[in-house]
Formats: sequence, structure tokens, C-alpha cells
Amino acid sequence: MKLPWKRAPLVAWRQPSSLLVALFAGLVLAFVASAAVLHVSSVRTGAVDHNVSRFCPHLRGPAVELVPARFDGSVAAASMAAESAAEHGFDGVVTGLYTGVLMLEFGESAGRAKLAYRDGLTEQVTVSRGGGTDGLWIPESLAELTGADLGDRPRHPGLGELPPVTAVYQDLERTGDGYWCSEEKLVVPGPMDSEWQSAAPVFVPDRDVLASFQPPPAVVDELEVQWEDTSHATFTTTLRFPVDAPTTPEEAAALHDRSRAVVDDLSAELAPEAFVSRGVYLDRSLQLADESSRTVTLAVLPLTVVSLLVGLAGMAAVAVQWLQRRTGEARLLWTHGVSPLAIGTRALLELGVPVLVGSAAGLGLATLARGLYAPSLVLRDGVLVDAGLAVGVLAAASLGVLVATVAVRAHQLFQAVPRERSRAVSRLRLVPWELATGALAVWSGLRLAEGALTVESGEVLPRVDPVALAFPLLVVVTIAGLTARGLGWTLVRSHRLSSWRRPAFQFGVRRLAASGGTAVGVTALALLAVGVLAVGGGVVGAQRDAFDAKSGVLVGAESAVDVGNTTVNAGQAVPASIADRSTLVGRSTTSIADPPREVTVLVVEPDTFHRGGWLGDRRVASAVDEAMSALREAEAARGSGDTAVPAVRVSGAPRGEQLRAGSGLVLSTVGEVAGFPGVTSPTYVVARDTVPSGFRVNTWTVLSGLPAAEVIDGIQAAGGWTIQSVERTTALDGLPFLTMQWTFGFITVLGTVLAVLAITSLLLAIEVRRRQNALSGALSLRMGVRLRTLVSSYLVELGTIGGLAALVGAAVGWGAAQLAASQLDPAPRLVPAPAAPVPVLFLSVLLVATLAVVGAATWLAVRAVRTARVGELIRE
Amino acid sequence: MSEQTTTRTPSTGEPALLLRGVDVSYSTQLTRVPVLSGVDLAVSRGEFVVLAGPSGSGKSTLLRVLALVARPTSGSVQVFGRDVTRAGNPELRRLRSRQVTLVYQNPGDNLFDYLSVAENLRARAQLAGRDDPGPALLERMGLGGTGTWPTQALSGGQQQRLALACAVGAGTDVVLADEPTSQLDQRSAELVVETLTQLHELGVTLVVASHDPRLLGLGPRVVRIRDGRLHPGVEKEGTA
Repeated sequence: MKLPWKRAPLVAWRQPSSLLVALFAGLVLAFVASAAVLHVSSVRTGAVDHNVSRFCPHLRGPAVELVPARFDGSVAAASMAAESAAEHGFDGVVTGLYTGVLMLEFGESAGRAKLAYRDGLTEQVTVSRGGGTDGLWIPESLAELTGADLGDRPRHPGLGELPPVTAVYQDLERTGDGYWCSEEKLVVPGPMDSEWQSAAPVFVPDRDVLASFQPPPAVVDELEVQWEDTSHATFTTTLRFPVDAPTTPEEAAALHDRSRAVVDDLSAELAPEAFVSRGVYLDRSLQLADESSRTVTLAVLPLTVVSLLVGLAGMAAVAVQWLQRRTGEARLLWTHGVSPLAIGTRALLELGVPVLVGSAAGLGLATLARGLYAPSLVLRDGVLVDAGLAVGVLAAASLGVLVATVAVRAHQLFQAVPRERSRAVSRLRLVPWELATGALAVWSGLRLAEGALTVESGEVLPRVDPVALAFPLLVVVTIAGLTARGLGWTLVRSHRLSSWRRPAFQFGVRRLAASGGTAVGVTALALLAVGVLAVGGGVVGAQRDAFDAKSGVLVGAESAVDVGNTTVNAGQAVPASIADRSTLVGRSTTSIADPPREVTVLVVEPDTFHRGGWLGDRRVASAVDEAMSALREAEAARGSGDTAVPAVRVSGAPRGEQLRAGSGLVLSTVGEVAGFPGVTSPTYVVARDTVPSGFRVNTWTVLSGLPAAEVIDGIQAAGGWTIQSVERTTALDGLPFLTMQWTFGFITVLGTVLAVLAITSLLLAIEVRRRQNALSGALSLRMGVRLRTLVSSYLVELGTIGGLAALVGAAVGWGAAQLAASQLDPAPRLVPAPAAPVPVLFLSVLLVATLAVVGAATWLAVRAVRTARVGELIRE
Repeated sequence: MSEQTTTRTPSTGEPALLLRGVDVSYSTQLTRVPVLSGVDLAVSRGEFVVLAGPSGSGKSTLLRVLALVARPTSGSVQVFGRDVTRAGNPELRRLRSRQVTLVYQNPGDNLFDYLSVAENLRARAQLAGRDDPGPALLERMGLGGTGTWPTQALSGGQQQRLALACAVGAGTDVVLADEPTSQLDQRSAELVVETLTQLHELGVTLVVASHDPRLLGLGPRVVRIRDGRLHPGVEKEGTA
């Protein structure tokens, strides 16, 4: 190898700034590429995590429920399941046995209950009294209803006298993610269920006691004519396979395969009619994870490619800068017969190692920093290899760009025959390419208006139109281009400006014009960065707020706890301990005659609704205020003989002055709101004290701003009892919202990378022109220009770039995000629609960052002037 | 001096450099600016020609055309009888690496500042596809003992001397120098003049653009150029 090439890697160390720039360029490119790979990969993991976290712990594996069968049949099935579980790596099976609803007699009283057993149940209920395991454990609700207590023996017509009550336990609530979660339908009475569909269980801690309940087969045959009477003789069997939650999609897939194997084993052993249900819930989770990953990939791919292209353009700028610094040597080599391509390889040998080191560092940084952008920290097997490959390809491309740029520039500089640009080419340069991106933005906007997200019935994830998703970014790119073109056009004509009464302004504008290409380029890049950040932040904020608001409207509050009529009538539903943050609502489904349709009547307490109802969204809070005002005004204006109940209609309920509903209720609509907490169907909101006494409320619910557990504790402490509860944070499946957040969250990361590139470009541009600026500034000072004026001129120059980028970028980005956000609605049937929040924090940070960057750049420029040695600069 | 360094392109009678009707002009946004007009010049093998003319007369452009680093707008250029007017870049590069060397005005522009004196010599020889001429050439060119020195340790005159030594080490037939003494002090300039004389004695064809009276008096032939045209009647002038 000839000496100049052999020495190139060592020569690089003589100019550390060039090394650093090359390293930084490699780092940025590699970071974007590997972050994209890691992000998209972790979307699957995040989606699996999200879905599995919503599963009941015992439903992560196979989920099997068998039709009611005799005790020995149920036990045999459980045994088969245990064998299969062991064979396929499960720790065991948890068996549950449940009879149908039985009428149990306690002396003169009677109450409905199921007889039930589940492996390990004694550790999983809260015992109020007693605790012996050789009898029956009855729920508080049954004890209260029948007056039963420890030692009492219930009777059943088919079973005779049953073992004594040895414990009273607190009724099981909506079970969250606990032990009873998978059995909820079987152990928690549904408020809308009929009397014989569900009831609280009477537990039999000893399974063998259940065996004694089974009458001889002959008796069963005789009793089969009446299903109520056979319900004690057969057991619905649930087979659950506890397993740790998978942490990666690969683990989930493996668990899915094992679970499928168990289900297949049982399907082979038992007849199809034996099953109520059998399946693997992970099926759906894996599907959703794949869909989520595909959606995010399609959405982030265009901007990732744009960012990589910008990064490669940055690498070309590094190459041009190298050639500028090394023009003398390049010219010498060329004079001595070296080709431009060989000069390119000279640059490669000097800068190649820093680029490769930077690439490795970029991969490392993306891996370490994934907590800031990736949906999950867990790395799937092989993802680092994938990211490494992507980085490798990009590093090779970067080095190719380096060599090619130096070769082409050297050719242009030293040996190209100057040719007059053809008129056609000159005219082509006048055509704004922004028209193309603008046309794309219009097309994308039309598709957005038609619906970027299509929610099919029964599907969790909406189908995404990637073209529509690109709308806000296309708007930002178009405006960035137009602004840059406008700035360039203005700078070219700025020589006409004569504002010497404001020399700082004049100097600043002239310097901008002198480096017009750089100024326009940096402004466009900075504007793009700010716009992308505003779009990303706006849509992410809109999705986050929409999830909170929609789940708040769905549930009606932070938590909703159903209570029984007895509790309400006894005044125990909203005790003092929770009253300042809770309210009571009643709900009934009824029919109106004209027009004939089914509607819901929501009975509220206007004076307390604001304490517990969801008011977390400005639009919802406004609707509540409007509704309550309308009800109060109507009530105040109501005459004593007026039987029509004032009602505020919601969600498309019919209007009318004498709407006849069930139970003698006559409604008169006095107002309308678009949405109301807890309302998801045509509903009339009425005040509790206007409802006639004969009207039956099906369900009473305590809406509260407190957690459900706290509300339940408060009600139970006051002597009341609760039926089921729901929390706002878990009521609505967040995956569709998360998918949008993950998409635009990564776009925010790309915006940050673009911002770093823009700031670096600006500071680099100042550094490259340091000598010229130093000379001109030093001479200006010697000619009498004050330092203050010089500083102001730099502030004008750099402030124009920073200010234009920040103002236009933020305005366009937020506007585009606002337009897009309302169309990116993963749950369009729920109000309110997403809306980008006012970006107060973003604007504050942007202002501070812009001032800091302009200040730092000005300081750099002025420092060069103040330390300049004019004589040496002139001599050079 | 090794036989290798004295090997020159065999003589076949034609001039080393021949320009016929050469025009060079550059385009600006508004117009075309002529730099050389209708230049006819023949430089014989082994001849020492000094190009003299005021600043802006076109001396450097003429030198660049002769050194094959600039192409004429019209006219023809021959090197040792070979018409290279329409030659491709690879052929021109080959000629520049082995037969024609341009020495720049600024001494630093002619050397690799990260290589030592001896390494510069070796690098230039490598670019010409030749073996390292070794310390003997440095001795011959009055740079004995400086082989391990960085080039920045040499005076301006020594640097130009080294540049010329590199040309010799590369086996160059033609050396073109653009104001080689203009940036040097008296002593350094004398060193360069001495070196050029040495090269002339070695049979190297020299074309030097200069105002330096020592060079004007030295070259057997002075070609005057003004406003892009060779001054009429200059061809046979022997002394300044």
C-alpha cells in the first residue's frame, strides 16, 4: 500500500474534530437504525405483555370448562388433565367443581347458592367467622339473608341435610387479577343474571364431601325432567393450569404450543360434547401482537427511512468537510496522477474507523437507552443480531457514501470540464419539489378524513391506513421545504436591503445571505425536527388523554362498585368515609313506546354527582355541568301536578315531552349532551328525587374517585355489601391506544435525532467558517464596529434560523397533529374523540433550547472574533 | 544518482511539449472570460524555458495546460509527440504521475506534511510506480542528513528542493514550476535556482513561470506573455 494510504488512520488523529464528527455521524445513523429494529421488535413484546397482564393468571395456559357431569366423571377428567399437564411441563392443574344454583333452606328461611369446591380455596377467601374445613363455608350475603350462622345445617330437597356451617366468608367481589379471576362467572353473581343463572357459592373445603352429594344414578335419571333439581347432582368442572406470565413473544409462543398440546390431549380423551369451552387465549394475544407490530412498522418506516437518508446526507457533508480540510493534499495527489476514487479511499482510511466505532456506539446507545423509547425492555432472542446487521449495512452504506462523495467532489474540483447547465435543468431547479410532498399530503389527508383507523366489529386492533398516518409528517416536510425555499428566495434578494441605521440587522442579514445554502439547509432540518417532535408529542398526548377520557366515560368514574337495593335503602351505599369523592347512580333498561326502542334511564344525584363522576376531560365536564343545570332548572320550574320527569338525553336517545317508559315513568326531555360519564348507549339522565317511587332501578352503582378496594372497604365497614366492581384503568383495552402511542412515540425519538443533527450542523457550520468569520469580525471591530453590534448581528443571523425553525415548526407540527389526532380514534363509539393537548411543556422546552443553542452558537462565533490574530489570518 | 532516476523518455525528435492554437476561457454567470488566446508554443526536450509576464497575464493558466491539469477550450496539446487534447482522464493521470510534474508556488503544497523527508521521496516514487530512490538522491540534491526530518523542519527553499527531488525520484521528464521562488527569502530562493540548474543539467525539460530576475537570466529562453497572448517575437530571445 502506498505511503499516504498506509498512514491515513494515524493522520486522522491530527484533526480530532474531524474524527469526532465522523464518529458522531456514524453514531447517529446506527442509533436510528438499531432503535427502529429494537422498537419494532419490542412492540410485539409490549403487546404480549399488555394482553397477558389482562389475563386471569389461571388463563394464561389452557382454558378448559366441562359441561355438568357426575362427580366421578369430573374427578376422572381432572386426573387426565393432571397427567397431561405434567407431560407438557405445567406444574399442575387447579380443579374447580360447581353445582348449579340450589335453593338451600336454613330453618324457616331459604336462599339460593351453588355448592362449590376449588383446589386451594381455603387460602383464597376472607373468613369473617369460624374457619373449620370439615363443613360448609357460606357467604355473608347468604348469612344475612337467611340468618344462618356457624353450626347451622342447611337442607336441600335432593340432598337432605348438609354438613354444618363451619365458616362465614366475605362475598367474592369482581376478582381483578387474583385467584378467582378465571372463575368469576361461576362465583360472582352477575347483576343482570336471573335468579337461577348465578348465585354466590357455598364452599365445600373438603372435595370428598362433595362425593357424598351425588345421588345414585337411578335417582338422577328420575330427576332429569326438572333441571333445577338435577343441578345438585352434576358439577361444572373447570380445569386451570397456573403458569408464570411469559415475558417475550417467543415464550408466549412456546406456552401457546404446550397449552394447545394439553387441549388436544383432553380433546382426544373426552367427547366433544363434554366441553363447554376449551382453548388457548394466547392465540389471540399472539395475533394481536403481530398486528400491533405490523401497524407500528408500517407507520414508522417512512420517517425512519427519511431520517436515515438525512443521516447519509450528513455523512456526505462529513466527506465534503474532509475534502475542504484536505484540499491541498487531494490536489497534490491528483496532480501526481491519483484518481478521484483513490482519493476517496484515502478519506475512507482516515475516517472509516471513527465511522465504524461510532456505529458500534450507536448500537450500544440504542440498546442501553431503549427504556426511553421501547414499549418493552425485554430483548427477544436474536434481535441484537438483527440490529447489528442493520447497523452493518448502514455502516457499509455510510462508507460508500464517504468514498463516493469525496471522489465526485474531487472530480468536480480538479478534472471535470465545466459545462453550462442546460436550460431544461435550470428550469427544473425552479420547480418546487414541495409540490410533490404537498400533493402527497393532500392525498394522505383525504384518506385520513375517510378514516385512518377502521374498527371492525369484534376486532381489538383497528386496521391502520399507513398513507393516512403519514399525513402530519407530510405536512411538516412540505412546510419545511416551502419555508426553506422562501428563506432562500429572500436571502438572494436581500442585497437590496439597506438598513445601515441598524447595522446589527444589516450585518446579520448579509452574513445569512453569504452562506445562504447552509442557512437554508440548517433551517429546513431544524424546522423538520421541531415539527416532527410536535407531531409525535401531540398524537401521543392525544391518545393518552383519549384513553383516560374514554375509559372514564365507559366506567363513569375512577371506580364503579355495584351495590344491592338493601344497601341503598339502608343508606349504606355512600358512607361518610367515601362520601366526599363518591356519588350514587342507578341504572335501568326500559322501553319507550313512541318511538319504540330500548333505552337506559340513568338516575343521578345532581348535588353529589361531581364528587364521584368522571370529569377528567374538559368536554365531558362541560356536558355534566350542562346536564345538571338543565335538570335543576327543570325541577325548579316543575309544577306540583306535573308527572313528567325532566330528562337530559344522551347518545341519540329520542326527544319528546311525554315519553312513556316502563314502571309508570313518563319522561320529558329538557336538554341534550353529546356524552355523559357511564353512558354508552341511548340514555335519559334523570334526577333521583324526581323519579316516582314505583320506578324500579335494576342496578345501583357507587361512582367514586377512589380505588375500588377503598370504596368496597368503606361500604362493608358501614354494614353494606357490594356485588361487583370495575376500575377505570382496566375497563378498556388499552392496546389500540398503546399501538398509536408506540408509533408516534418512536416518531418523537426520530424528531429528537433530527434536532440533534440540526444543532450539530449549525455549530459545525460556524466552526467550518470560523476563519472567515474571525477575519471579517476582527476587521469590523478595527474599523469601528462596536462589539455589542457584532454580537447583536450574530444573534440576528442565528436567531433568524432558530426562531423561524421553532415558530413555524411548532405551529405546523401541532396543527397537523391536531388535525390527525381526531381521526386517529381507536374507539370511535366512545366519546370524546382524541384531541392533541396544548403543548405547554413542549413549547417551554423548545423556547429554552432555542435560546440556548442560539446563545451557544453566538458565543462560539464571537469567541473566534475576539481571539483572532488578524495578521496571521490575512497572511493565510 | 541511480540509473533509474536518469532514465528518461527516449528521444524521437519531437518537442517535449507542443501547443497549437490553444485558447482557454472560463464562463461566469454573465459572460465568457478569455484567459489564453491562440497560443502556439513548442518546448524542446531538455530545454529550460522561463515564462515571464505581469500578474493576470495567463502564465499560471498556460503552465496548468502544459502540466495537463487544465484542458484548453480549443487548440491542441502534444506531449512527446502524442496528442493528448482529447485524452481521457486516466491517460492524463498516467502522464502526470510519470512524465510531467507541476511544482506549486507554496512549498507546503508540494509535500505530504505528515511524512518525513525520505518518506516524501518514497511516496512520490511509489505514485510513479518506481522504487524508492533512497538517501543518495537526497545527498545529491543537497538534502543529505534530513531524511528523518519532518518537512516542517525544512526551510522554504529546502522544501522546494525536496519537491524537485521528488520529481527526479519519480523519473519525471518535464517539470513545470509556478513562481517557485516567490514565497522564499533570498537564501532559499538561491537554493531553488541552484536546484533547477541541477535538473537542467540532468536533462529534465523545465518550464518555469517567474518574475525572479535570477531565473530570467538563467533560462536560455524567455517567453513573454501578456493578456493571454504570447508576445510576438519572443521565441528566439536568449536573454532578458
